Amino acid sequence: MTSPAETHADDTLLGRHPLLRAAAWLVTGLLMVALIITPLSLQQQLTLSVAIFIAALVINRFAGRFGSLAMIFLSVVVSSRYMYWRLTETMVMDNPLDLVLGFGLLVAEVYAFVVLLLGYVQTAWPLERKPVAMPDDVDQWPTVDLFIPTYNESLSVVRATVLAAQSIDWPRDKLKIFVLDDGRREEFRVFCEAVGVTHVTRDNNRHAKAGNINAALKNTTGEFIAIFDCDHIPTRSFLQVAMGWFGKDPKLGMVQTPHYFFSADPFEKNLGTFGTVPNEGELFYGLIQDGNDLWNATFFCGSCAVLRRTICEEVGGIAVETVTEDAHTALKMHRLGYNTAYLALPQAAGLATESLSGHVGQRIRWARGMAQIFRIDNPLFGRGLKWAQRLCYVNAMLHFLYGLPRLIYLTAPLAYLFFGASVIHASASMIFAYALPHIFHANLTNSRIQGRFRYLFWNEVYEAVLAWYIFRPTLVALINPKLGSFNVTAKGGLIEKEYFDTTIAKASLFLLALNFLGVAAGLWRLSWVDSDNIATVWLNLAWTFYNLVILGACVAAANETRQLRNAHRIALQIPATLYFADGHSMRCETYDFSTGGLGLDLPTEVKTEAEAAVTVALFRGDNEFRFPAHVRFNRGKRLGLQFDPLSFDQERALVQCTTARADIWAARWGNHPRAAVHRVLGHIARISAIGFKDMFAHYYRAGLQKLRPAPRQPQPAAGAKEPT
Amino acid sequence: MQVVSVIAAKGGVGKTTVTANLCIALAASGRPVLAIDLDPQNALRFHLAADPRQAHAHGLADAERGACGWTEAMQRGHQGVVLLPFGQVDDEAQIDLEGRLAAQPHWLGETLASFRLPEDTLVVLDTPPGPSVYLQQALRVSQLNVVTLLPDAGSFATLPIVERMVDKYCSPRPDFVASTYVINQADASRRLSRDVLQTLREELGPRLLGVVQQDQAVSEALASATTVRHYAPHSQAVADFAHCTARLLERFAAVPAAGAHLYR
Repeated sequence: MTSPAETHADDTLLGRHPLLRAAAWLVTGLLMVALIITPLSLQQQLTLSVAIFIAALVINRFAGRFGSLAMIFLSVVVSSRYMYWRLTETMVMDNPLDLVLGFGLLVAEVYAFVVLLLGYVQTAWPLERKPVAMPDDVDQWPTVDLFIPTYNESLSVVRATVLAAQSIDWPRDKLKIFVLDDGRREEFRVFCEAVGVTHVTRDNNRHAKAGNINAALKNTTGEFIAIFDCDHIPTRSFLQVAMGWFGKDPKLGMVQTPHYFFSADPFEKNLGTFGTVPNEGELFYGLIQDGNDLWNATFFCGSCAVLRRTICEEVGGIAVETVTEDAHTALKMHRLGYNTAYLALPQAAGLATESLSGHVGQRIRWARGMAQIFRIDNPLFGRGLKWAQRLCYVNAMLHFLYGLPRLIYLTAPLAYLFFGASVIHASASMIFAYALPHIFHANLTNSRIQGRFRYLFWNEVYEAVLAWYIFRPTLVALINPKLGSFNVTAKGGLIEKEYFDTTIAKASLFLLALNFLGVAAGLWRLSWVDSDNIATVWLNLAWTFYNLVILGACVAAANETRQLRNAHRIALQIPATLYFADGHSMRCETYDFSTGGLGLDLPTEVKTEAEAAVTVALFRGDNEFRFPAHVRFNRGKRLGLQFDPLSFDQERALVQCTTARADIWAARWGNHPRAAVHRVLGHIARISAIGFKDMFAHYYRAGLQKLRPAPRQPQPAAGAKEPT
Repeated sequence: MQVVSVIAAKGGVGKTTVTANLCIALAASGRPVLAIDLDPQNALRFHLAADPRQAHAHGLADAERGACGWTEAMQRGHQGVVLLPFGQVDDEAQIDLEGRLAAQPHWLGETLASFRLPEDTLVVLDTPPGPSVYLQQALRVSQLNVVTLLPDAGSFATLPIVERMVDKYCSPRPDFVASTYVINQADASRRLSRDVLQTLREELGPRLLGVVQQDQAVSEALASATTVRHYAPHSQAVADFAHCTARLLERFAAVPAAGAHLYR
């Protein structure tokens, strides 16, 4: 083991005296058990809860990891106390309906509790591994084969990745680039030949991407294999950052770097949160993988990673038994006692999935694959893993089983509102006294640990959208891992007009309708029926309102906004020089770029003719590269350029000056300011309101059209003339 | 006082343009600048003189033989630069002058010392291309040389001529800082220019002060009797000269100021 956390000696008092250490553990453990199981009256429970919560608030004032650990400890105690109380005191049901519904909620709560605990283990101490420098002597650097697997993606998506891969700073004779084309396309072969990379095909498509890579492994010889999805564009520093650790640790089998997306994912696009709210993937790559790294449990994510050939071959190549071949491959390495590492430095960037339905499809695949691994190669059992590795893997798999628990949470209060079923056998005040501290501590602690990578409550929005769709496939995979089909994630598509995706929103709409009915039932209970249990009715109504807010945001996410441009524009401020046809020049700065063009901020207004031909220069270090272009728009001090057809050399130079810059993504990532609870809730509520508005507008229009069957001409999309 | 010599192995590389623009950029950075034209072509005044009508006034040649005072020979230039032009002289006067300069190798150093310039003054010398008595005088006092080249094969081939003179007159002196290089009129859109530039970059390494891109604004500013800085403030050329100047000042900042003993 060369994990840095384990190499320094523990010279604290407890570290030097193992007996003292054991005694400390024992005392702490006994105190903890006492705190968890001691029965208390309502008054006493309230006092204890308030005291512990104040302690947590005070600790939260102090930055640092010790504070985080202390808060985790308090949160674990409070939540355990709640779970103990729930299990021992609240499950005394006297009729079958209460028992069935109550048991359902209990299952969801136990799941959430286990995931909470495992999450703490996983993220308590992110390793924050730093890259190791390569040796000065370039002759010692190993050979690398860079694989770009592709199946049905268009060449326009793949070419930037190939050209960027060619620009990676690594000795020319030690880096070979292979495009693994499972689509066997002539167009690809011609392109690969023209730019000078190897086009690889096979005569079948068995085991999809995993099979594709394994086939190429047999025909190549590099000591290391770097893998990039065909739409993940590497920066030039990728290998020099990622390879250093391999030299230091001969048992290191895999180094993973984050997947960073420069375009908005469907949530960000449809909810307007791009760049302002951490997206779904940021928690995983910002915190969870870094936390896994401490326990030597980082897993392979299929792209932006390097594998050591010997170890990869020893585990039988990329795993083919499940549809998440990447995580399974890492698991096999860990079982054989090899190490993996994570470097939280974005060294590549790609396109996010365009539509919500595509996004859902991708998550279904992940969820299915994780459930499959859970069934056929369960990390809790079998040889070779340390207990912490088992826990990290189990949590990764349990995470994808959130479908059913989330659906239960979204409907639990209805049990009482509809049927008067008491799913928790306790008074409303006792539930308050036990459950609220549990919820408050979990949120406070997680917001401290995750604040930069995930805002409070957003988890619930992301999960609520997906819950129904991943619930069935995970269930099926758990029952029979072989059932179900594989689907490829589509990228680079266009959403030509705004529309409301009723298919994907169907589940949310159904839940929404139920919850609306629940509110009606609650009001009816408040006014006529249930005057004895006002507090219980209010408790369930408040829960239902919260569910409505979350579901409103889910509905908003299904409202697909238009995606007009083929090429994504990426904000980038770097110096540029504009050369006019008459020999004049102007220093300026870019404000964004795409593969098709460039936006410039000029120091002063200039007069140009429409479509004027210009040359624009960008810089890579001291080197200047010039690109022919013409003016698309000229507004004030802003100039939009569209590139003229570029040669491969020019295209490569453009990639080098833009997406392949070593520093381009690092600053944009994991930099979210912490957000206060009320702001986050307010934001979600606003988004939710918009969701309701759009949904009602959609059904109002649909209703009108039914009344007036004569079809109207569709309006041409406004603003479609935006510059490319 | 710090002395910078702008030199070139061959003519036509835009040395006077580089001198003038360095002077303007140095003055813009807040330093007092004295620009001295040691080239009988007497062309620096076209770039720097604030009042072109003074073009036929006295210059260095007159002052040297006592025909006028030194202050009378100097004139106000753009951006607050003080300009000492070479002056208009006929062939015989020029040959006489060169004879006297050859006989008094430390003439320039002694003359500069007699000016009693403020300590932070930068003296920038424009010299004629190739070996000459003027270049000898300049190199004997110069602390930092700016060798001007074009990104073409000719410039590259003639480099050793200048380098031998630098080795002879500058390198032995303790107050000498460095010889640096400016590549003028680069054009990244032309393959040859790009390739030569790449070779020169590798050859020169840290001695390369900067690259000035070919820019129409430079010659147009000269024709309009104004500076590029004023004529096209946002042009690439202005940015390039500013970059060279910043690098030049960095080189000076890296060594303690010297000056008192430079004329011995």
